Amino acid sequence: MSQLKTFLIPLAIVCATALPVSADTKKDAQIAWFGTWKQGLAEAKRSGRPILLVSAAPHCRNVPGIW
Amino acid sequence: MDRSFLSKPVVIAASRDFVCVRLATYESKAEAVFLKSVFRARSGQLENTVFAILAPDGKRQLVRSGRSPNFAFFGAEDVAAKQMASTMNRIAAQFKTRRTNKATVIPPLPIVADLRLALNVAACDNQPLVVAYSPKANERKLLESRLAKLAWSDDYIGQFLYVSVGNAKAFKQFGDKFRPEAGIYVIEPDKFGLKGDVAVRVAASDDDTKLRDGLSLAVITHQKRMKETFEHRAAGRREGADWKTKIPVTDSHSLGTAKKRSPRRRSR
Repeated sequence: MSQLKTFLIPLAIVCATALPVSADTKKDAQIAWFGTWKQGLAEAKRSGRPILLVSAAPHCRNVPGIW
Repeated sequence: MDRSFLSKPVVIAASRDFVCVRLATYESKAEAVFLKSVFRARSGQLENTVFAILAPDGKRQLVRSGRSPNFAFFGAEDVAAKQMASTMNRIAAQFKTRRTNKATVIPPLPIVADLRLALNVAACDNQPLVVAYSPKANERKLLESRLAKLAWSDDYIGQFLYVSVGNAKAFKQFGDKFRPEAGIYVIEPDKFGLKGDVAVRVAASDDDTKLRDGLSLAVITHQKRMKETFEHRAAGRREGADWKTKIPVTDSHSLGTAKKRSPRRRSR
């Protein structure tokens, strides 16, 4: 098994360098979020773009890892 | 919040003409004050979720604000999401005509406030986290700038969360033996976002081709984790996964103190 891993990891690296990011991987692209109001507001004022603002707690009853 | 809106392709496409800001509720006192100015719930307290579309001045509200997009966009899920996207496109077009050439400049790297929070948010989003680390401010700024060009490119936009770290102590979640070196780390968070594995490492001295290859590898090897709320919460309780917010939670539903509404009495 460790020999298989030794082979697979370099193969993955070669494939990644040989191939650009494909359309299939781009399908997982989500909204690109600024994480702080200070940074987002500065960018909105600089660029003149309107703001999509959302706030949510990154935990459920104090269990993290889920909105 | 009904997050299904935010993962609809039409809404994601419309978001590209906006500055999208997502804050973590109860993680900043200053941001909490701001959020209450945007939407104050009936309880008078800051509740878990807030939604708004604002003008670039950050003050003028362009649609009805509320706890979620449902406050402004009604109907069945797909219909409401299309309505939201259509409204966003209309708003973006209004502001496009007023913009100068500054809009074509690459925006700064969109970062989360700190590594601890960023790891949690990446776990929530099921996305890898890219960490730009250097104890030298100039070097860190350069790393951020190099990453920003990729972060906003078509190949990588919306594929990662980002954070910038200047102090090695921030990596304590990775164990005492972890000694960070200047450069980029792509981290796969665990399911609770309390720990992570280094998936890719690019040194600060490596060139942009290596940086790009590193991100491509991270995208290709990333595996999404399906999560179900009740199961995740139960697993978290069993395994002792506990999140301490920076300021107290004031949402009565989260606290389990929400009053049940009494049934309406029929008049005779």
